Amino acid sequence: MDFLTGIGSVLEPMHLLLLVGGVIIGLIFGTIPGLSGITAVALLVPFSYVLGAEAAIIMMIGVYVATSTAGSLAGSLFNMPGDVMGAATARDGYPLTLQGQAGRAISMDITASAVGGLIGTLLLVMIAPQFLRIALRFGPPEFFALAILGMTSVASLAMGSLVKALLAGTFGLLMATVGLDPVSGAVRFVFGVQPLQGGIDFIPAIIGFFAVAEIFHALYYGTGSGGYTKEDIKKVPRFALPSLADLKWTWKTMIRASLIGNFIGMLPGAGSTVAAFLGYGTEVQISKDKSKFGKGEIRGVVAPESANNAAAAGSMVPLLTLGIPGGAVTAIMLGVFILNGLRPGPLLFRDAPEIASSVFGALFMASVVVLITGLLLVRVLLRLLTIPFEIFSTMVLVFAVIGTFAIFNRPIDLWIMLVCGVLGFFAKQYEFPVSALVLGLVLGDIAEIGLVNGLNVTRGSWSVFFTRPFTTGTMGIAFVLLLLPVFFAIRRKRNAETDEPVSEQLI
Amino acid sequence: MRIRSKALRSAAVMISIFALVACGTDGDNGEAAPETEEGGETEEGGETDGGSQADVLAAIDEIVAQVEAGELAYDPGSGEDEAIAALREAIPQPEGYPGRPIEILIGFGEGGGSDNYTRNVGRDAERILGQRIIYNNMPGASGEVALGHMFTQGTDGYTIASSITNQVINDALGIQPYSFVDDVAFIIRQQGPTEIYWVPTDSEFETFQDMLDYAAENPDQVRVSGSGIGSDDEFRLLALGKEIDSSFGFVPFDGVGGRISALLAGDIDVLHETAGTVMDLYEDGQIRPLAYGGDIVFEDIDPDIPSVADLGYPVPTGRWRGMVAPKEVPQEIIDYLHNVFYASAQLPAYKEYEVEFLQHVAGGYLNSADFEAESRRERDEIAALAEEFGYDTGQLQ
Repeated sequence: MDFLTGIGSVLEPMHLLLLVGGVIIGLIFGTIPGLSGITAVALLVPFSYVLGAEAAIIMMIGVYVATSTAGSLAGSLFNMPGDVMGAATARDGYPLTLQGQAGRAISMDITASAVGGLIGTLLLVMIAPQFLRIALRFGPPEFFALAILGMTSVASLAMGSLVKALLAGTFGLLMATVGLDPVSGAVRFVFGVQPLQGGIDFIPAIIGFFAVAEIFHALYYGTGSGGYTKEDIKKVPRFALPSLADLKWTWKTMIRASLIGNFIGMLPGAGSTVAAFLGYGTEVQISKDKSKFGKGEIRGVVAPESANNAAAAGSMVPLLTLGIPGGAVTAIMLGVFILNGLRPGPLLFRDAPEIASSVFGALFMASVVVLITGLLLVRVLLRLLTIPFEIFSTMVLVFAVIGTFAIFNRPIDLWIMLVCGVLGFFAKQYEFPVSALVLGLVLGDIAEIGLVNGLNVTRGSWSVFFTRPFTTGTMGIAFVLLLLPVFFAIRRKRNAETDEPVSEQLI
Repeated sequence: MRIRSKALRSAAVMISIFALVACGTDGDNGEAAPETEEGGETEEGGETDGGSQADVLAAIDEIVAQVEAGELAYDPGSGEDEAIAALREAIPQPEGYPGRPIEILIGFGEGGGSDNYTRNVGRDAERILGQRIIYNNMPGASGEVALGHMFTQGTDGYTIASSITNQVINDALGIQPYSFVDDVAFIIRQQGPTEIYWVPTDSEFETFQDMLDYAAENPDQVRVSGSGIGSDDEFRLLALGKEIDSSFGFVPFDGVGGRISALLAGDIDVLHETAGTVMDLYEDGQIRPLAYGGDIVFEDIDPDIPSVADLGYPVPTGRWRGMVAPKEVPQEIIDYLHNVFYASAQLPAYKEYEVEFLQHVAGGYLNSADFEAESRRERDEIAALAEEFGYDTGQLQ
């Protein structure tokens, strides 16, 4: 694979046009609450016949990278993320919007995404083979440990009460068990509704929990979100570049989150969804002052963004080298490869090296294009906030229905979306953190399969979760992350005893 | 009263959404078309147009032979060519069917094995039908969500489903509110099993017999992976284990990805997987075959490797794919669809796909009656195995 050849190929006029087109489609689909990247990529599949494999993949990567970014824009702007990663970003992005700093939030959104994408791609080109070797050692026990690590970030998602966060997270885990047991095939919690056997997918759930619930909430209180006026928008500079101070404050976060995200992205099955939460959770856990998170801390916007875009790049590694898709979008891309007579796998680099290098080139260039078009469009995106609520909520509900249905064509998903909308409304009412619930839903499957199959491969020995190097390491990190807040609290207390009293910020 | 009007407006939106949802789930209880009696396989369809099913199939075979000999023009990119025109002539068509596009439900996601099969066999079928085929991927519960949805739809033959062995297994285990074998009309089976037992190249097991010997000595110690949730893979292993008075440790993974990385990482010892999926890894020298899972030896891969059936072990089931419709669909339409898919699968577009995925070796074609009989046999055999081993589906009594 030759990275520079790849960039060269992407810079061919036709390819560049498709890439930019893909990015714009992705930004539109991602920013509209209710529509997600998966929908956009799935809609492009038929065009791949006409375009041919290389061009189609370049365009899809444009869409993929752009939706990874834009999904969280909807989260930051309206608290209505279209995808899991946006749910993490919304935690701090939306409070910023409420504080009138939407411009700042989304310019950092875009910048962090681009940085994550670029770092992710560079890592991919330079050290992918080594990373992959580690990722391949990830068996079921490692996935279980990873899910446990992810669950430690539940604490970081709490809004005040830790107990409520734990309850929400546990309810999410319970929701993940609905449907056929992935190992034994037992029917669980479907209450006689046959289509529920397919389980609760997290896209309909997220659209319900966030977009639909947000609309119910606004209806109940008679308030639309944001409430920006044209004058507010005019205050934002035409090309809203991120401020130097913000960049200085967050550059370490970006690099840290990119590294985490890139690695998680390479693990087949984990994908960018887990990456965003882990990126966010880690950032909260290691920061000394947690109190600002959830209230508009810019690092809380940057961390999940960098992580999920780096993960998007990372997810290309198992796809290209083993033919293993890591998530829904890469699964569709795998389909496109196959439709065009290409079989991703160890032989792809031998049989069609130009495709492999184009993928790397496209990933790199897509991040650049997203950065440029994104920052140029900040003002246009902000204008969405000025749409009257009546019109906006109607539109969003329509898109929510279309977007939810278009993914799996299952009528039951619409019911799931509606029920989650109602649940989300009450959760918000009683201050249960919905993002913790979503985290439980996402990690539940990974944890369950990891645990059961982990015991299967070791013939029932529990010690495997603590003796294999990676499980030990991951569990260790999870343990440290859990104890870190306690450690900080103790140290603060000691400081408080010796020095002057410092305001208590932790429970 | 600004808020009130807002609320009203949004209530209107909500109502329309409920209506939308209702349309989706409600399914139309369209008039079940009068059922033709007896369901005679060979005579029924031909009555109106003269000539029995056997004659129709012979005519199709002849046209296909002419296409292969280059005597009839064939271009899958065109709307209709000589080959398609001849086939339309040869296949007797029910009165007024199909008058609109036909929907095929696919119980798995885009790009997977079932999706590839359905879309490839659909390419020429669409041209013969003279109507578009709408592919509706509705994944979940190993194909059962799509099947369950089919039963809620009309029985006029415009909604059919692409199905897989799991449906028979789930029927045998009794975990569905319907019975697959008893409640569907079998149209055609088109793909047979191509699974192979693979090991990493550096595995200690040199031959299949080595593996069996070790497993016989050490019950549950040989870890074999296959696809998840009550799959054909698992029942093949149950039958094999029974034969050697031992058992295997079965580790199911839902995605191909998990299975392959578990094998390469050494978490499992043996992978039971279709040839087409892992061919690249084989050619790359990372894995090698121990035995062919069914009764067919893949000459292209390695003629010296035995098949499980050759070794004298039972093979209760395997992964086939085919088309089914609700039971109430008139026999005339079932026969017609059988002939259309039968013809489509003989044409070059589908053949090329078959070769690429090594499906051509396994064949697997069964006509409606044989497909039904074979599914019944499989269901009984699996139910017996499940009972013998106390296979636990966790179903509450």
